[in-house]
Amino acid sequence: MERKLLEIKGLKTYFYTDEGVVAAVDGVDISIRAGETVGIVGESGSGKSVTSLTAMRLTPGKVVEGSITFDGKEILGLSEEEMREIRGNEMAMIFQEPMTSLNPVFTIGDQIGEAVRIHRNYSKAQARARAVEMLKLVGIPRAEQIVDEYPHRLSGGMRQRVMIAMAMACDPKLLIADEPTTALDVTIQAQILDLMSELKASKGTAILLITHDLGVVAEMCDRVVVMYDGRVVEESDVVTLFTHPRHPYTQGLMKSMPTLDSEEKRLYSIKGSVPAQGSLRIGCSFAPRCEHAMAICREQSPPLQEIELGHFSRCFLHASAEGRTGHEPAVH
Amino acid sequence: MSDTDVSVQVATQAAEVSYQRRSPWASMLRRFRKNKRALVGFWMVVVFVGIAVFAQAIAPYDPIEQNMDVILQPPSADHLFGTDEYGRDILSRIIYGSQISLMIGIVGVLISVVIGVGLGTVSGYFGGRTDMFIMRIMDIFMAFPSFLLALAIVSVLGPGMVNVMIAIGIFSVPTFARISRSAVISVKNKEFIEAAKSMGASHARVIFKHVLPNSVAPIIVLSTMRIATAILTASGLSFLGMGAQPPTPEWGAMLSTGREYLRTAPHVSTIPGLAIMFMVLAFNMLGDGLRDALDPKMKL
Repeated sequence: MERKLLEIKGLKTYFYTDEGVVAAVDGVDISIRAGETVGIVGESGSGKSVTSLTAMRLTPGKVVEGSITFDGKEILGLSEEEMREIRGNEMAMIFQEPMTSLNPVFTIGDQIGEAVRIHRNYSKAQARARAVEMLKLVGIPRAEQIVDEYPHRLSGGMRQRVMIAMAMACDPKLLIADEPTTALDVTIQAQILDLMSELKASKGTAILLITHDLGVVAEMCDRVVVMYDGRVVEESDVVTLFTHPRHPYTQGLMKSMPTLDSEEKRLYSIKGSVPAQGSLRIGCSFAPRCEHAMAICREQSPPLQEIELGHFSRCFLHASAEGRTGHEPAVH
Repeated sequence: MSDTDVSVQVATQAAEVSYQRRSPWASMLRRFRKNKRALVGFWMVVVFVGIAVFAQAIAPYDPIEQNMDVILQPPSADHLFGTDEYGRDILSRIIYGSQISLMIGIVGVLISVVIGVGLGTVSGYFGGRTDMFIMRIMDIFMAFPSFLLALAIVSVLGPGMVNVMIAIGIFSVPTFARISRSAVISVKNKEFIEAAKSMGASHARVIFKHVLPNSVAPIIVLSTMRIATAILTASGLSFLGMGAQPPTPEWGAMLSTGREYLRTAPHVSTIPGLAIMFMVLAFNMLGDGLRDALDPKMKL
């Protein structure tokens, strides 16, 4: 088995607000091997962004429990200075909103070059050369001119390419992409995903892809982690997840995807909404919306079990359904 | 700078057609040039600065030389603005006085910018207890009427030009701290700050490279307007005898001594009064123009 590049174990990130404690991430385990693409899927408020920000130690919340090892180092124990060495150098991040992720008062080149100036002590000229090189790498035409341009002159798709160039400037081992295509239109989305796949292939960068778009997951990821209410509810390789989803929530997600050959007029939707954060969890937090909810679901919290090799799910159905085929996954 | 959002669509469309680089500052300059009132203010300030710089060359007389033969003369060809109670040429005194007013205004504001923006930035960027502590102290300063505060400081330090500058510097600190704090708070939650942090930038780097350059607009505007207030306050302090000491040709002091001759020689106090008015007006118009050019939605 390949060495794990990032390993998050039992992570709990809480927010202490005036209204009480909010457990945004409540015991999450995620691991990524070198060169692998792992997707985190979940609704808004499921804790996927907080998980990724915690991995970079940039979360505004407080890590209460757990460990995060990156490249053999326990990063929760590092000093802020040591952490800065890693950020942008070995672990980089791209954000959702390309319109606001670039500093409006500096040129594109300044911002791409910032990482190499911080981490590799490049001179201004070297940093600019690196910026041009990176712009070419991410497929921006007229890189020599664009490098001296200000962000507001670029379109959303171009800016997202610039963001990727910024993040990749130091050849990081891990790229965390927080909804990188959500703010873009569909054709540009495809281009950006293609670009990320190419970079991954040529540089061997591992990618942690956070998204709520199952189409993006299907296209990009090797493995998928489904999060619900701050916890991992299902984890498996991408093919298994799409063909044999086991957790009722994942099944619901799959059913709610439109298909062309479907006869149904109305798209399936999971009833109810994500529980309010901060409410005390008793039992399975998906139980109120679950079609298969049993008495035990409201009393105890189900454990995450390995139901097949490499396929984990957090549901009591697997225990009670042993021996019978039980709830057939909905597959189109 | 929320106007960039608007200009984005226009700019990206135009990008293909006309290819010229435009930084946010260039488009600000363009908007400023279109504003007539701002331009008038700007040129008035330029004229005042010119007068102050070339005072020695322009002034027809020595500002403190007394001439008992021509006491309290009304404006004439020899003395364009007349003479005061010691026969000194008022025009020359006004010209030299502009040096003092400008210096007090600029140095005073500089003091408050350095201290106020420093405190406000730290406060806004780090938040929490630091913010609480700094801003509560600023609130205490704000509780005093600003002129009384300046007067109290000068009373403690003793009258004199340098002390007036310090007093004016201190009394504007809370305003600068508040404005820069709010500017920093609105900038620090932008995604590019998060992005800079994720690139491994240190706090100092984030503050100086990403936060401050994006929050200078209100600080520039406030500085310009505060120069006007500083000049007015300095004149006020001198009027009360707490500022420049005779025979320094300070406008406020001149206004004060001229009061005694208001019935017989009204020009002695009205002319310094007009000078103060025009200089304050110039800085206020410039400040308004800068505000409109930098961010029309800014509330200052």
